[in-house]
Amino acid sequence: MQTFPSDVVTWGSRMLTGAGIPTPGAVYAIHLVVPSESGRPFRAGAALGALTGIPTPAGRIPLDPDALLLISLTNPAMFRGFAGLLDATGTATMTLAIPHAPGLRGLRFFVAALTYGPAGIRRITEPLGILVE
Amino acid sequence: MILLANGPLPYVLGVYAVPHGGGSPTTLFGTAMAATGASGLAAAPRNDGILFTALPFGVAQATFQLLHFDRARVLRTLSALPPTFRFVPIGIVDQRGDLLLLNYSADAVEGGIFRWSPPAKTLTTVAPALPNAAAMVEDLLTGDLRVGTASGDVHRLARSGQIVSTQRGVLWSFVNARVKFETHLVDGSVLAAWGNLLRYDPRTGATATLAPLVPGGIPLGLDYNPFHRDHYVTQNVDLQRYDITTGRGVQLW
Repeated sequence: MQTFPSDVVTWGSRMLTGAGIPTPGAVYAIHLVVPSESGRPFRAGAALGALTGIPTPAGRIPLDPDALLLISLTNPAMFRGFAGLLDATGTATMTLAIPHAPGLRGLRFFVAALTYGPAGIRRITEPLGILVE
Repeated sequence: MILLANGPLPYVLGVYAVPHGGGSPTTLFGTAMAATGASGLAAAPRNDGILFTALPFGVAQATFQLLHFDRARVLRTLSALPPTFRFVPIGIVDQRGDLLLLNYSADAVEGGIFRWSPPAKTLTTVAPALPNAAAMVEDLLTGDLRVGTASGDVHRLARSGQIVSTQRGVLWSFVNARVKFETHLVDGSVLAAWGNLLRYDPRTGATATLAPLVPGGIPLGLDYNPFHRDHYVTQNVDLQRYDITTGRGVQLW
């Protein structure tokens, strides 16, 4: 069918996207897509803030150095797949096992990732904000 | 890659790519770029794909369809939209991976925010009865939605769709349905395009002009490129790249 499209809606101008409903007890998926970095190693983390960030020569990592960042970097059982290699399409899927604690509802936190090589950091993603529902 | 869709408004005849460094648009789909210019913009989209709404050509009583131009190669129809959808100025992907569509209407009932969920292809109402709602972003810091109206107001909506508060007249008094919003992912402010490129602080309602846009132009797209950390604004036959920290703009096309 021939079509005459109308307005373009902004979609996918991000390297990180979520999938599923982030509720207490749920396993929430996060997709990382950096086509130019296929096969490269990556590392992701989470933090309660994203505005201070961590300055690096490659730019600012939009994760504040707080307690959640430390947990996300040291707890692979909860933050699954937060380190690894991007596949041939530059894609990786991470999952976050949200603790079954109703008190987490309303918590806002952020996830970001970076790719790196022998010379250091190559790409830093934008922050993905997640609100526990 | 920057993808453009081409007018004349409100219809689009093609989709085009412009490299980050600038240059003439390359036709990816449809007819060659016409002098009427671009009517949409997506910067560095995931998988080089974009979504847009469309009317099937030559079909009586047709309704808008949600389309996906996948990887800048394949055009697929995702879903038909209800006949009340006549102008969808913006759609954003929310944290569930769903698409939130803003249906613009001056009608007190038809305008609003709707959730389209990819697995089931279902359309549900998030926030009904939002007349003149023209622009929408997710508030980076809270996860709420910020919705700008053609009368210059900005609503704050919880994820449930309930209006939490409204800031009256914070945008220009002369904005219309073509005002564009984008989240500034560095400081959590909202960028708006209409006449000027403007920064709006959703917490205080304060606004500051970052850069003038081309006089008389209609902003048809405003998007952020996370790969190069800059913003793009398209107006009619003009495509500019902006460094938000300095307000400096570079004409790409």
